[in-house]
Amino acid sequence: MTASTASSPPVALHEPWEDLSRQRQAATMGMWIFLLSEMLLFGGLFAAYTVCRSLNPMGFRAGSHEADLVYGTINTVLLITSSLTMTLAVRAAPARLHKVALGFLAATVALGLAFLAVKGMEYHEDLTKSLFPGPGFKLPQQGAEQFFSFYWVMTGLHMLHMTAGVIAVSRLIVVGRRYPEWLETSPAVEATGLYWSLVDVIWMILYVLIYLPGRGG
Amino acid sequence: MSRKRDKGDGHSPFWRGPLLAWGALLLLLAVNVALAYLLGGDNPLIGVGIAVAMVLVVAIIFMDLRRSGPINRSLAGAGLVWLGIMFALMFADYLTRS
Repeated sequence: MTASTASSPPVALHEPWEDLSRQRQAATMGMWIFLLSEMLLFGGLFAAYTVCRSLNPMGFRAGSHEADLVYGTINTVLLITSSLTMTLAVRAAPARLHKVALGFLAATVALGLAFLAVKGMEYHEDLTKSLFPGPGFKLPQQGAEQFFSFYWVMTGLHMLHMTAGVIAVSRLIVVGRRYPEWLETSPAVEATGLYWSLVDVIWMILYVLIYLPGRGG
Repeated sequence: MSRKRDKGDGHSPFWRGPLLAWGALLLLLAVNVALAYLLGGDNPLIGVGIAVAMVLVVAIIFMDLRRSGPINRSLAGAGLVWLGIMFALMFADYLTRS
């Protein structure tokens, strides 16, 4: 009933719950409350972006035109696919398809790492093109520097969330490989899946705000 | 999420719904990029509207809100309501400034 010791396998059921069903309800509810706070955190950034963009539409358009659509789109596809693999892992685990679940979890981590690698390449290119706000910034248009301030803050914050997600999913793999029954019953699998999907959702909005304005012109 | 959906609905395998959602998301992404080029990407409502549709697909299928209990649905709805209040108050200010 209580937390596991170093010598015993981890138990899925913890105090104060009497059964796994109640514990699972509490875990998903707790995760949803956490996701609410995340929605409002990024929502505030989106609101600030919207105001600044309405004040400097041409500068934001010029800034967005410099953002690399190819990198952004590749990363969007990677994240959408990782959400698929995470969802399949969440559904395979309680069905006692342990190896399938572990395979999907491993695919999720691989796709998450690929996202971070592509983002790192994009950051390197941005820095090479002097797109970091400050002295020597490339674009002269008013508001373009502000656009890239939002770009670095919002994508950087999102990268931190991605990194945390990769660590959380990796933990599921490490523990789940040793204790398949834990993977089958623990609410942590479902809660981690919810978190991963939210990171995906935030990126979908970021993608539209950062990469799509100013295209085709 | 319900534990009864583990091997699907009893009729369809567990991977069918998520796989269809994945296809729909890629399709919506392609439409969004195409419209951004066709329309110049200057109308944020179209891009954001399609992104919101993608978010709903993720929430309903991947996050399994369609099978969640009323508490989790209420929490997800509360998030949207509070975001809506924040944006409504913000637009009420900035869009009415002379």
